[in-house]
Amino acid sequence: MLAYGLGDYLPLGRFAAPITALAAVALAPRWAPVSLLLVVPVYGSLIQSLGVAATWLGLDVVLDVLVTRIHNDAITPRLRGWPIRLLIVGVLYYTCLPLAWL
Amino acid sequence: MTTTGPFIHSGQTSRKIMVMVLVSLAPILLAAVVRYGAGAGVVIACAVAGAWLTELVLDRAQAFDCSALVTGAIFALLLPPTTPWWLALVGGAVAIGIGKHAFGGLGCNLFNPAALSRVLLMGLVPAYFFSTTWTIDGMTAASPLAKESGAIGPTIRELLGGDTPGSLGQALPHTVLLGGLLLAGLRAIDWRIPLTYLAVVAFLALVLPASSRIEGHAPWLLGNPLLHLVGGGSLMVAFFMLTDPVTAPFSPDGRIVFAIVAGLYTMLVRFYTPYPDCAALAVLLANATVPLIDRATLGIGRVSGPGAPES
Repeated sequence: MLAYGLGDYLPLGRFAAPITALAAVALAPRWAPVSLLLVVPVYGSLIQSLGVAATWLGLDVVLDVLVTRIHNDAITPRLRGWPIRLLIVGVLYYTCLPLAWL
Repeated sequence: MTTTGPFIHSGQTSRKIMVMVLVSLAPILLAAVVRYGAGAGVVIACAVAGAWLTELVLDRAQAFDCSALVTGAIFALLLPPTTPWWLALVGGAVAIGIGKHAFGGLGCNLFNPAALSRVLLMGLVPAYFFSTTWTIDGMTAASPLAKESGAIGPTIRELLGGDTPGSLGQALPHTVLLGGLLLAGLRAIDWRIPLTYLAVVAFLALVLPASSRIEGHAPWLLGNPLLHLVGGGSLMVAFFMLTDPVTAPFSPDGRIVFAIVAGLYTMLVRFYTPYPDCAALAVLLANATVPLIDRATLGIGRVSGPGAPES
C-alpha cells in the first residue's frame, strides 16, 4: 500500500515499490520475504498484491509450525537447518502454485 | 504420545501393516497392467525398484519392512501410463531419498513421500505430467477432468469401467474401492478420512459455482459428483495417501478437519485453475496443515518420532 501511495505522491516512478520494500525490510526483517514480493512481479491491482502478501504470511505461519515437528536428531547433519527448511519451502511453493490461478 | 500409559500393544507392526497395504494395492496394480499393457508393468516395476534400491542404500535395516515397496507402488499409480521408465525410476528414488530419508526416515516425514515426489517431478519436468490427452494403443483421448480440451463428457459406464484416460491408479476404480475397503475392514486405516474426503468432494461438486474455465469448455464437470469421485485421483488419495498414519493428524476430530482441507483444495483446483487434477497437491497441502491441526485439537506441537517429548 505504501508503494502505491508513494508512487502517486513522489516522483519515484518504478522505484517506488523497491524503495518501500527495502524500507519495510529494514523496519521488520521478519517480513522481508513479504516485502520483497513487492519488488519481483508486476501486480495487476492492489488487491492482487495484498492477496499474495497474505498468502505468504499464511504460509509463514504454516512453516513456523511445521519446523517444530522436524526431528533434527533423526535428520542427517548435512541437511539440518536451512537445507531442510529450503526443501519445505520448495514443496509448499509447488503445492500452492495453483492458488495463483484463483 | 497423546495420553499417559499404560499402553496395550495392538499386535500390529509396521511390516504387517505394509504387507496389508501391498495386498490391497495388488488388484489396482494388476488392473493397471491389464488396462494399459506391459508398458504400465515397466513403469510400476521401475518406480518400485527405484524406491526399494534407494531404501537399501540409505537404510538397509528398513529395506525389508516393505514400506519402500508401498511408497514405490503408490507413486507408480500416480503416474500416467505414458511415463518413461527412467522417470518412474527417478521418481521412486526421490520419494524415498527426499520424501522420506531427508526428513529422518520412517515415522519422521512431514509429507507423503509418493505425493512429494509426484509434485516435485511435476514442477521439474512438467511436460510429462501436464498433458491433458493420452495416447494408449494408438488411440488418443482426453482426461475427463481436463478443461479446454474439446473433449466430450464421459458416461457413467465409461467412468466405472475405466474407459477414461488417467493415471495408472484410475485404470479400474472398482479395484481402488475394493482395496480401500479391505484396508478399512482390517482397521489398517481410519475410515473417517476417506469418508470425509469423498463426502466433501461430492458435496462441492454439487454446490460450487461454475467458473469461466468450465463454462463452454467442460460443462460436465458441474453437478457431477461421480465424475469427481472416480474420474481423477480422488479414490487413491482418499484410501491410500491421506490415511498414511505418519502424515495424518492424531485425533479423530483432527483427521476430519484434515480430510476437509484436502477435499476443499482438490475441488478448488479442479474448478478454478487450468490443472486437470491435483490430488497429490491436495495431499501435500493437507500434510502441511497437520501440525496446526494437532496443535488446535490436541494442544501439542511436536508429537511423534524419536526424541519427541511427552505432553
